[in-house]
Amino acid sequence: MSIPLISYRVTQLLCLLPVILGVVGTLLPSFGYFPVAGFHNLNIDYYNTLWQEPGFSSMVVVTLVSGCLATCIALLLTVTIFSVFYSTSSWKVWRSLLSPMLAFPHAAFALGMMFLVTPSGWYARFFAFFTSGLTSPPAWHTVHDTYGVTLGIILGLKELPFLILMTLSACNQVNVSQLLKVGQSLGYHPVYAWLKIIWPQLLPQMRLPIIAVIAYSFSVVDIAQILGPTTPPTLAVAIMQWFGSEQLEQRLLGSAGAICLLLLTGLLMLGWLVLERLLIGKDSRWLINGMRNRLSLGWQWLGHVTQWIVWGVWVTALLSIVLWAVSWRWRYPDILPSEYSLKVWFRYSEKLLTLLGTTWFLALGSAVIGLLLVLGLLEAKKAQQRYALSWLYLPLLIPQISFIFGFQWLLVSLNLDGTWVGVIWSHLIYVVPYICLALVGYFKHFDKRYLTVAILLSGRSQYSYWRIKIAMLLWPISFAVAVGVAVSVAQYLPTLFAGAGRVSTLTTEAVSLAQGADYRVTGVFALAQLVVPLVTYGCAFLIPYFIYRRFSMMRI
Amino acid sequence: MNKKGILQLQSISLYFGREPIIQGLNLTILPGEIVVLMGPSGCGKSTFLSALCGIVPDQFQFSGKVLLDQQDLTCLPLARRKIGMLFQDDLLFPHMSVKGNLAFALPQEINRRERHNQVIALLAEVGMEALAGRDPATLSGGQRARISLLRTLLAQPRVLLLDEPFSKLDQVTRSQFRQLVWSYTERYQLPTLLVTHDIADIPDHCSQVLQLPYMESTSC
Repeated sequence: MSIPLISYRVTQLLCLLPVILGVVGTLLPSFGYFPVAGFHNLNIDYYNTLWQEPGFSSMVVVTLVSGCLATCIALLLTVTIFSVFYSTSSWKVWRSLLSPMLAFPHAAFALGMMFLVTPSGWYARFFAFFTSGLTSPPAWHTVHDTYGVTLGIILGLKELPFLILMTLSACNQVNVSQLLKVGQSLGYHPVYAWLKIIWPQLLPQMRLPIIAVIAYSFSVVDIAQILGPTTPPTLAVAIMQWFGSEQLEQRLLGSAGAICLLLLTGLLMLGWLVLERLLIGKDSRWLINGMRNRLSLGWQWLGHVTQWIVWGVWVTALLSIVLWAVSWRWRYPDILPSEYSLKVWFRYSEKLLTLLGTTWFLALGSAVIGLLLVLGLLEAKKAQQRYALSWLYLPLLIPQISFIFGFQWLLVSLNLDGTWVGVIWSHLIYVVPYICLALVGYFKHFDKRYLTVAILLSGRSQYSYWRIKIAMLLWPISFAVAVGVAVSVAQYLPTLFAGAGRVSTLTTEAVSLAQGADYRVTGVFALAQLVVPLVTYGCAFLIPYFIYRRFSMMRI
Repeated sequence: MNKKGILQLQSISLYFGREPIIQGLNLTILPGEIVVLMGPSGCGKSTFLSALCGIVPDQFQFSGKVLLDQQDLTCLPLARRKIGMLFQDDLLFPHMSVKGNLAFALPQEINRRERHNQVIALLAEVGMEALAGRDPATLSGGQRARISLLRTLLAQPRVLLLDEPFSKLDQVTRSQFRQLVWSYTERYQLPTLLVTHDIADIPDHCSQVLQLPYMESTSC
């Protein structure tokens, strides 16, 4: 068996086994079958208990509202940004902001947003400053609101860079500039050319990323814990609480909830497929109604306002984290801290260093292993066929909470729970598909003749592969490693479940600290969490830049 | 520099699905001899050259024997075929300098100093030694083509396969580059197979012109 084929099989085993066995391991307990804990009778009691659980319907509503809102906001923003700003001067800014936005861990972003939108947050302080009316924090339900609206909006903003990245990748398969010219020559405003000509071609290619956003938004736990409603919480948070209970029956209830969430997500995914067909299907009248300029100025204006709001939110989220991390005294309604200090850093230095080490080790470990697996995978002949790698994205399409419980039992039975190996494995389930997404287009479009020439010249296949193909693809590869690190750093549930309380990272710590009242400590941990992926993205940019600074064809 | 070789193609067939591109081709190319393969775009010329290197795309079926001095290349991996190939694009490695590109083709056993000397000597031979440290992207089309040829020759191939290497050059450069290629094939006595769709590319001393889809061979 060749190395690529081995890699293909190993990756299948590492990424699919946890998901498939994880879902089975969640499904069986949901029907009362959990032999290790002494439950042997198959029944639907736990589903009945779930329906009767106080607040269950509210949990479903909150999950639906926040999940749908997040998906809609992320998608609408992506459509607006591409339609209005593609190949304008703002486009360069968007492209250069993409890496830092992607690097921002979900939990850190949620904490930054918490610092902004809570009644005593930065926005309320600005409001108080300009209106001089609010001397004490207002009683606004800006976070933990009953229907999870804030959660949905913030999730949507966080998913935006992912959808932009995926759209950019999809744009490689559609001749955007030519189509834009054709559209404009037919009298269509660029915004309408995008909406009626380009997006209908992009949306089918965006199916997987959009479904991944749906799956993520419906099952997110860390952001929901920080910003979501608490009584009742979202279904995913409630399931996590049930899984964490000492009463075994509650864990079975959690399994039933996880399966319900899986079905709910599946329904929403089907809903998207139907909506996609309605939007861009052959019978879509709006595509051929001839409208080409109406409200185009309004679109432009809306695009610019949206752009500044999005940039403003991201920048202020980052700034608020930095300010809280170095503030010592920051009373309401002061806009800036009255006293700065690094005392909190020193107080937590030992813990911070330990967590930083653990987070780096896990992130780099999973990113490097993930990269090697993906490199092998992409060279496998099996991977060359269309849709051959579809299976790899399965973990992104299934709510994390719906298989993580079963996966934990797999780790327990392999004696891997609470070990580094177990945690890295749990991260690889996500790191591998994201690295593959980052690389697959580049490998597909790599001119194979370079490698043929190199092998003919050197007489050495392996040497040519590393010295020519990998070296020529160093930019995307280092970017993919950075993506892998960012994905690993962002993992909350996998670390929590696979780590079994024995492995903590900056993410798990930052989320648990978010429940506390001291924003300074939370700020310190959020900033430390942010540092890991940002430094990696910096290195991913600088290393190839310095290596290839002399070669103009190798610049981005 | 090169050991003289005789390239023999025996009962070569190439199919795209069920459609024959080449059927039962038998061909011998002597050292220094040039055979030209002509045909319209998309008829499978480049695929045929790739197949001689052992790279056959999935939709194609290739059969027959490729012998070099009686040694059967068919079962050898690409790395051991000792074939030199020039493509339509120069395919200079964009992450290496001109010197790096040339040194890549030198055998592994040669030490660093010797590599440098050999590369500079070869560049000096064509009056391009000043370009040694340059980024390939900063060279003109003609310079890039010449570097690509020198790189191929440095690897000491025993056969030369040319896949429309002149087609992207302007008229003047094209003519100069053709002369350079023919002078080297003669000097190193390389059996050469040229693929082209331009009659002007056919050298005066070519021994055969084959037309694709292959039916019969036509002498020049």
